Amino acid sequence: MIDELLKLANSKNIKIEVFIDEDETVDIETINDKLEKYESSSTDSYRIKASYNNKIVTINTEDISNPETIINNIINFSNALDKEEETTFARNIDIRNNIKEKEVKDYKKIIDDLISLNEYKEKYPNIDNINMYYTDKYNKVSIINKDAKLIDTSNINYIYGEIVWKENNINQTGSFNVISLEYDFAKIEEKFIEMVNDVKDKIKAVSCKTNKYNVIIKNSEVFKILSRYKDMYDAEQIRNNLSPLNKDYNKQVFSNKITIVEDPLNTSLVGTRIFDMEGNATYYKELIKDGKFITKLYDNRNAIIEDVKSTGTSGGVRNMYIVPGSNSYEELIKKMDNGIIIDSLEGLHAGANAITGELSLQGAGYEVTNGKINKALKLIIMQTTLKELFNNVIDIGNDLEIFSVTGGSPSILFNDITIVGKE
Amino acid sequence: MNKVTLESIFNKVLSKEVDFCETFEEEAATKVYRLLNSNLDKINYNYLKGIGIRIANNSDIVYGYSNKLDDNSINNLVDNLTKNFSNNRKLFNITLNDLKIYKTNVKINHNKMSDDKKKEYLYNIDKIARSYSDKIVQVDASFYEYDQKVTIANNSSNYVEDNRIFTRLIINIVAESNDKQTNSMKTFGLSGGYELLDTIDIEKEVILLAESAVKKLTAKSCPSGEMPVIIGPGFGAVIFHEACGHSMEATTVALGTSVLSGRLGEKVASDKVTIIDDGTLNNYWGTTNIDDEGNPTKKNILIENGILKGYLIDELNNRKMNMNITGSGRRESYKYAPTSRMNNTYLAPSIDKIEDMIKSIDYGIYATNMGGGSVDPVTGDFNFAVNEAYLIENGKVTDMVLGGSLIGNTLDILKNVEMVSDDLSFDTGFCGSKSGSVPVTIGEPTIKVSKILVGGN
Repeated sequence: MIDELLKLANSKNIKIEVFIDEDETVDIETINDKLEKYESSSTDSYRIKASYNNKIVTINTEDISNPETIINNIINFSNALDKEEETTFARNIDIRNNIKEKEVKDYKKIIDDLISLNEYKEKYPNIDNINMYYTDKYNKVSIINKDAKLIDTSNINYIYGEIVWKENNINQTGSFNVISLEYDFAKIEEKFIEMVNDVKDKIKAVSCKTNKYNVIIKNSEVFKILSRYKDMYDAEQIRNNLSPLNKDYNKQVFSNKITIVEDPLNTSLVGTRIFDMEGNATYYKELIKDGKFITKLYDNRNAIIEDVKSTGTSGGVRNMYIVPGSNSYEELIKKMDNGIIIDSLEGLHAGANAITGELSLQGAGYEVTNGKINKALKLIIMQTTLKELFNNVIDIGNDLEIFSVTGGSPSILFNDITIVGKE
Repeated sequence: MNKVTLESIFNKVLSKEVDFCETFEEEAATKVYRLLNSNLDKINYNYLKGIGIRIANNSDIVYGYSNKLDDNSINNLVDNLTKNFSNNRKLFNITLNDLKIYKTNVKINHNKMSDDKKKEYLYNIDKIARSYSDKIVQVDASFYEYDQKVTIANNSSNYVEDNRIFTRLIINIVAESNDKQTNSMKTFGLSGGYELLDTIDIEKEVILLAESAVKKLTAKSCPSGEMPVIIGPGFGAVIFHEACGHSMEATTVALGTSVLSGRLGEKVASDKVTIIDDGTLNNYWGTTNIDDEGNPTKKNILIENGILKGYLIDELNNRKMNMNITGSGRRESYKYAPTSRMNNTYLAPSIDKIEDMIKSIDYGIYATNMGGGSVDPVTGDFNFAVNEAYLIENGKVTDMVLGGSLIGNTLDILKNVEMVSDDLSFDTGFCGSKSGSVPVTIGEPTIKVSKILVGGN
């Protein structure tokens, strides 16, 4: 069908390429000692990029059985568009196609592993509910046009765990997630125990006094912020005044301790990709170097508009992280001496303004006194801006952890951040 | 998939020891026209077509989906899903009822309005906003068209189809001055077609948005601390959507982990609070004829004068809860198994006057425009963003403030609703949860909350 589509496009003077995304996924959910849900899926989807009469059209579809309908849509949509623009199409680049077969997993063992976590209820009788999710996702992407055929594959394991701790009729929840190339139950169990210990402290959490504090934000929560602002480097967002960095290219925007990179070819990380959605080779790059914004991100269309080269990031960044420092998490706590640890930030989709960079976020964590964790905190608000936060960096931890294909972060110690509490 | 093929799937599945089987076929197209930089910048088109199959025996549930719809792929999917169920010695011969077809009541279908008309409308928004002030640096306006056909069948012989049409207009205006940037955003939507535009006074709405974005450039920071707050009508209802709506969904109630589990008949809110979820409201954004399990949507009273009256219950959670389904089984697409979700959730109006609310506050804020939020339905802790607010000092509304958020706990906030006005209005949004992102409407009149924690500088 793809051949037919390419041929028909060619006969109508339409330049075209197809990005194919094939997913095979198994999802398992356990609630307490029972398998709650087993889910199996197989889907193919197609992203068709076309250029007709110097207009660029993109169509996402799950059905290419009718090439004529697709071609008619391309022609109709391009007629409606206002601006004439150019783009380029994938060529066979000097990369080795990365084709791996789906790894065979023993799902029965995985279910047994997840259910075995219920044994911790004996040691911790306040655990009221354990909800575990496992996803095994095999993904194959390819790009086909008249000049190129590129293929890349990945097989990723996701775990999400959640518990409810009940004490004196009060509920407290805790959660964790692990993303990895190999299924690793030892790592899952370690994270599970870490979460249980956190939740049993959080049940006694209180609010704090409104003030400016030195603050450690844990790696997972720094990554939530980084992830919310992953499009701020995008040249199109910047040109359209839709990025908090829209006036800041080649300027110092953050503390010189902050370097943010995209590392898509690092095969030890889960987001590895050898080409982007338009077939450009991906490569290691610094987006922010020593606090200076040095790399804007371009797909083919925007690269032509600004007369530069594509950055191989069409479809989004992969393996983006803040370069870690040398201090362990425990050393950061000692260094902070007095302040607040934030290990939970909620509501970023609304409380972190993607255009202005304002942050007003529900948080939870711990108060630290004389270098030691003193008491648990919840229902506090971290009130700052993206630039204030990343300019007030004291030190960066060495605990870089990857949380999604987009990337990860180490924990960071900040100074003078407003924390609002009830006291 | 035709009726005979579906029946053969059911008969194959029921040859195993199962007591529930459901197929959900979907074909959906989304088309977005986006105006940016005073041009029609992009038309995004997404099309999906697939099937989801859900099978259960007592509380053992499996779900699978595929967009490979040939016989071989469907057979493989069914084999994979049923392999762990034991064989059933009985033979089944399911005959589905005649297909019952529903459709959204539409006056102007998406293809009945020309591309030129759609563009003209978007250009006009851009023109009005940019004429308001030279501080307006970007107008981002989009039409969102969604056409979805779902066909649902189950082993009770139900066989229904719903042809749904949704239309939405999204406007985001960005202002800038002295390197400071602000934005104001509003959405309008309905379950229907381009008759949506007849319900909008576009000139007034765009000027209000542009005015708000420009005013924010000189607004002070939001104050912080626990204080009384007046929350404006419409999107302010996100407080009830987050603070208690999610805690009434069977997903957590059935497990007994929701903060509102096991509390039916208890007084959980102030007398002023009556909360309703109604999937039948005519052409509202969150309305569908049937839910995604094929059951007719309903009007469900959740809290009445402060007393917890009901939950939102889907087919499989009703087994755990032994309570009637509420027509609330929803899912984003065939890629999600359904679970109980909200449709159009609102706080019923009362008789308090806004002037009296303002007069009763010495120091607090009047949040006229809210953003989204989130909740942990187990603890009841929630947050939501304030997009536009004003200070109240000595019983009077004074300066505009911005950049704040409100956080609290469900049970506290429900009890702290002190006054409720009569100006009920609705806004549209998407709600994300276990079964994906679904269109929802939220509504409320202006309310006064006696105290809530406000985040600001």
